[in-house]
Amino acid sequence: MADPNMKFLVVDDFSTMRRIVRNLLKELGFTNVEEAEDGVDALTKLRAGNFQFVVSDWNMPNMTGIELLRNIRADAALKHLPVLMVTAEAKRENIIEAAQAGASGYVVKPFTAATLDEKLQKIFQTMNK
Amino acid sequence: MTAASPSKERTELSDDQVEKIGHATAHLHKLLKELGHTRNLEKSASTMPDARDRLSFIDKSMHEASEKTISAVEASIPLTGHTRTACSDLSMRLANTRFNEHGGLVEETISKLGEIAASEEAIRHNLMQIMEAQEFRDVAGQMVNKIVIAAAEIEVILLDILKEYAPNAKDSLISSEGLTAGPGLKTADSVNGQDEVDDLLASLGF
Repeated sequence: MADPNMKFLVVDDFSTMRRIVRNLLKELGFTNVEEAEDGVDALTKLRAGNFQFVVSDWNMPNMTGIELLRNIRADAALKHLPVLMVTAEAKRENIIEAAQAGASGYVVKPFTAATLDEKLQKIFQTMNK
Repeated sequence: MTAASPSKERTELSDDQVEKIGHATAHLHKLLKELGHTRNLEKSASTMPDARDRLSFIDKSMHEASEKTISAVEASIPLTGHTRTACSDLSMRLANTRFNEHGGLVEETISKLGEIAASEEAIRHNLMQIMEAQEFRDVAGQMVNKIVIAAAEIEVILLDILKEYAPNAKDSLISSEGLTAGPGLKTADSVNGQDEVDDLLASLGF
């Protein structure tokens, strides 16, 4: 079972969406959640502090989710962080691009707490191997 | 064509096609007027202020409704938790107390407390669904924005074509990308739902 104190960063330019993801994570038992409104904001927060999990949207101003993912994978201090993409981008090329860039999971909107739970559990299993 | 026309190689449009574009433009113009436009089509092509305002109003209304809904759900979920805890606590205490009288009433109370707790669990589940449903705001908001942009683009393109009497502008007509890209509207290369995402990733070995 994953540590309920695990620190999450939820990255989305839409405040409503951040709120929903935060609430769904809370429902799954994770209450240590912070938010960032785009990739640039996320990178700053990730570099400043001790996060264990990133849930990111794709389409955002300043820095998109895929650019954020590439930056995380290219940063020695952050590259081991699990990154779950939660996005409305449903094109195959997007999904393949994310997988090749090192995404830990991919969830298309609209999604439910059950889908989020399933993907998180799958990532936790991989992490514990 | 004159020297001022675009240098792209063009193919001839038939009279029939020109007529169709003319009808489409007239129709678009009528639609924009119905949306509150009083200025001429050419000016509206660059501004479309009223249509934009209306779409922004829709977007803002959706946002406020979602935020209000989520706040109400956030405030309600802990209440259902407290009620469930209180029910099970009271049931336990009642079950562990010896009553000389009203044994039937006590039993009934314990049973009802169980039913209330079950209802609260169902309510909590429904509240989560209400919360999840607010996701529509994200996708719908992005689509509204795309519609505003696409409408303006189409209008400009149609006007340009009409100005030139569209003798041979087939290659520059409405970019389908602007109309269909983005969430909600699937292109041929889009997956349908989470299962297909999972299948695609699995087929790639992820």
